Order: sequence, then C-alpha cells, then structure tokens
Amino acid sequence: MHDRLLDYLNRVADVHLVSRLKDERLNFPHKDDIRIFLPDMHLISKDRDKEFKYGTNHPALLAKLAEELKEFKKETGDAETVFVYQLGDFIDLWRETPSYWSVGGQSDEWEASVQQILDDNSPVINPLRDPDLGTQFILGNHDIDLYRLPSFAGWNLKYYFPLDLEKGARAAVFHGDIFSMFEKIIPDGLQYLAVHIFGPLVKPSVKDLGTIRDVIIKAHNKRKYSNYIQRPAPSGPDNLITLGSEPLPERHNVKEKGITNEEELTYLKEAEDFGDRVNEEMGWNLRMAVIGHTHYARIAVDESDNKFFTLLDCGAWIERCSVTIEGEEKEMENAQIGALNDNDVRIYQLSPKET
Amino acid sequence: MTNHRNALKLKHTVLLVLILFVYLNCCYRYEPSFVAVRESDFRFGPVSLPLNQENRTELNLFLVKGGDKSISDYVDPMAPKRYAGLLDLLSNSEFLKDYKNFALEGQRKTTKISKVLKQWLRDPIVYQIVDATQKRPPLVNPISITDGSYWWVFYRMKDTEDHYKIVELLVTLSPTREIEHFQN
Repeated sequence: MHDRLLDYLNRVADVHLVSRLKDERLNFPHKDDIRIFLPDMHLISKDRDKEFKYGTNHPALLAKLAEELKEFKKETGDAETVFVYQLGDFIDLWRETPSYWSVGGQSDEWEASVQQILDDNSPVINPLRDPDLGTQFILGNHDIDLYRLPSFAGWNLKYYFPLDLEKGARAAVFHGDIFSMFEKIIPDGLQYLAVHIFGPLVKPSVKDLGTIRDVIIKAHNKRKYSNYIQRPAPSGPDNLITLGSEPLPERHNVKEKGITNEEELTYLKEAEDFGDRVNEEMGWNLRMAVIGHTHYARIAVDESDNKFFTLLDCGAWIERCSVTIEGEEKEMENAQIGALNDNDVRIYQLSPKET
Repeated sequence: MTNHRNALKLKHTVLLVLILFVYLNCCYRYEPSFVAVRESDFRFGPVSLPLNQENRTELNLFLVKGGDKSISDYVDPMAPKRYAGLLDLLSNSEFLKDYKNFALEGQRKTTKISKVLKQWLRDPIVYQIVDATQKRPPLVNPISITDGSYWWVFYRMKDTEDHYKIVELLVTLSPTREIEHFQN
C-alpha cells in the first residue's frame, strides 16, 4: 500500500524520503492496513496570520493532499483499510487568542475566533474533517480547548491501535507535548501520565483535561510566538532521498539510541517508559509511539539490551528544516507526513510540484 | 446607643432581603434541563431491553471507541470492564420491570436515581429530551441519566395503571465534556 499511497502523493507534490524503518519487530505486519499521520499545522485566521513572520506552510498543497487522501481511501477496496490521523495542533488557539489564554476563561469571543479559523481555512480544514476521510484528530497543546465545543466531539488526547480485543494494541498515538511538561511540573510525571491521564485504564472524561490545561498554560507562560513556536532554527540537517526508480533502503536516517545525539532522540526514552507502563497494566505489547509537537520529523529507535521501541515523530507543516538532497544543502519548509504499513514506517517531505 | 445599633442592623437586613427579592424576581431565569440526542456516529441505539449478547457486544465496542463509531482504535480500552455490572443489570428482565431500580424508591416525582445505579450513573434524572431523529417529542418521556461521558436514555412503557417498566436504551455522547480533576 506504500507504493499506491506514493502514487497519490506524487500527483500533487514532489516527494522525498526523510526516514524509513522496515523491520519485523515493529509488530505491525498488516499488508491490508495503512496508517497515515499528518502532524501539526497551526492554522490561524487570515487577520491574525498577518501579525506573524511565519505560518502554516503550503496551505494549497495541504488542501490538495487532503483531497488526494480522500481519493486514495475511496479507491481502496473493501479488503483494505486507510486510517488517517491528525496529530494535534491542527489549529493554533494560542496565536489566535492570546488574551483568552492569559485569562484562562471561556467566552463567546473565543468561540467566534475558533469559527473564524475554520471559515478562513476551509479549503484545508473541510476535506480533512470530511467524514469520507474519517480523520482521527488528536488534541494538542495549542488546540486543547476544542474539547469544550460540541462540534469537536470525537477529538481525543490519545488513540491505541490496532483495536484487537484478543492481543491488544501495539502502538500509541498522541501529540507528544506532555512528555516535556509533566516531567518538569509534576514529580514522577511519566507515572502520573500513564496512570491518570493517558493510560488505557483512564476513563476518557476523567482524563484530567483540567490538569492538562493548567499545565499547558503554565508551560506557555506569556510567550507570544512572534518568531517561532518550537524551533528558532531549522531542524536537521537530514539527508533526504529523492524518490525514483532506485529501490529504497530498508533503513534510512534512523536515529539510534547510543549512536545519535540527544536532540535526535528527544522523547524516545519518555515514550518507551510510557509504553512499558502501559504494557504492564494491560498485558499489551506496545512497541511504537507516534507523535508530532517537536516539529522535527524523525524515526528514533531503541534497540539496546534486546529491546525494540520506535518513536515516529512526524514533523510539522510549520517552521523549517535543514536538508541535503543529492549532495546539495538547503532549507525547506516543513511539510511532512508519516505512514505505517506492513512493518514498514516512513516519513516523507512534500513540496509543491515545480512547474 | 444599643437601640440605634439594632435599628441599623435591622435596616441592613431588610435591605439585603429586598436586594435578594429583586434579584430572584428580575435576574433569575428558569432553564429547563434536557438531553440532546447526538449525531448518528455519537449514539448507540435505541435497542430493546433486556440487552442481548449481540447488542451488548456492539455497545461495548461503542464505549471502547469513546462513543464515536467512526473511530477505528481504542480510546477507552477499560470501558467493557467498567460498565460490565451495569450491562449485566440491563440484560436482566426482572431488573427492568422494577422502576425502583431506576428512580429512587420507585417514585415518579423525583430527579434522584436509585442507589444501585449510583455505582455507574449520577443524579439528576432528566425527563426532557430533544431527539431530532424523531418526528415529534415522545408521548411518554424517557428518563435520562448521565455518567459524565454519556447520557443513558431509558425509554419507559406503562406496565399497569400506576407502574412503568424500562423497555429500550439509547446511549448518546454528552454534548459537553467535563473537566474532572484527579484527586491525589
């Protein structure tokens, strides 16, 4: 299914491979099931967009991509399944309504601001929210308050897949911000996270949105995000592969524990510890966590001491990355997606087709 | 001097009572409580009670998905375990016949739920419902009770002259999500 997905991506974008890991230990052998991950977009209204030096990258491409994914899903037979996730920070309430967040209350004005974002970005948002695509949305730290609004029912803090009532789930999907915040603010934050907020034992309504929201507000403090959200400088550099007739290497640009630097392994340990606790509670065999949030697309893996745990960080559609393509160094605007099928996980960088 | 103080106190009390009276009459507005039945992805049922095995499996899947049929993954993996006791009761025809098992002491003029349901659900009973899937409001209003995440709508039928039994169930995702703080 990876090849067919690529056909659809190639229709609307120039596609480069950021990273790939093909390994049976991913424990996702399904040939008929593909999971596609769209990371942070940080959409805001047109009026507010004028106030910032940066914004959502390639919105027109994003809109085309959403339409292509709908086509891909539609043309996939009944014997196969396509699941699309948006990994949080779909819209950016912090940049849209800073005064609302400084007070921390609810107001009609805030709800109107949400509507303005939706209206101004309808070519991107509507196909992604189309029931035919069935995107599963995550609440991120920049849009967590959407949980208050009835039309965002079904947007959650986390998913576990596949839904296998006998064997349990093998991967967890969430935004990723909580790994940094809880360790700083709550002693033994990861345990708190696994037991009381994100763990499978937690009832969705008791997932402590109140506490999460308080932690998010504290973490943001009074930042205005005038020049950047996560990355004052581009992420990387990473060596990208131009997709063509050459067969792809089974392992490309994988950040390995014990070999690569700490920044490239950001949140790998936290995700793995979280997975261990969940496996202990549920008798599952989680081996992968999928996140966004850092705006740094990468696959990081821990294979030490006969372990195997993968962090798939799908990047973003905002801010920039530093890359090398066919020996040429350059900066690109982040526009990445992740995909998992048949024990093969990949991240692609997209850019508008050169005419 | 004491008389003067007492007179002043009385004056203040009268003033406070007056302010309260004016507030209650002018500012307080009665808003009836009602339950809204959500869009089809966010509701399960209505199904006949007692629950059969097929309905029970479907309901468990709905709850595992966090009350959204379109979701393909686990959102609330522990839901089957958490609601197992309630679903056992709703699979029992004897339990459904006795209105005391739903409303406190079987009263029809109450918003308090029975003690047995308090293990999963909580006060109050809401009698009004807005269900746009129907042509008209129901002639016999169901009773709706929430657990914080869902509204459990129990449809009633007159059994004898002065007695109702529960005959159908609809579970609908709550329109608003709650903030519940974890207590250490």
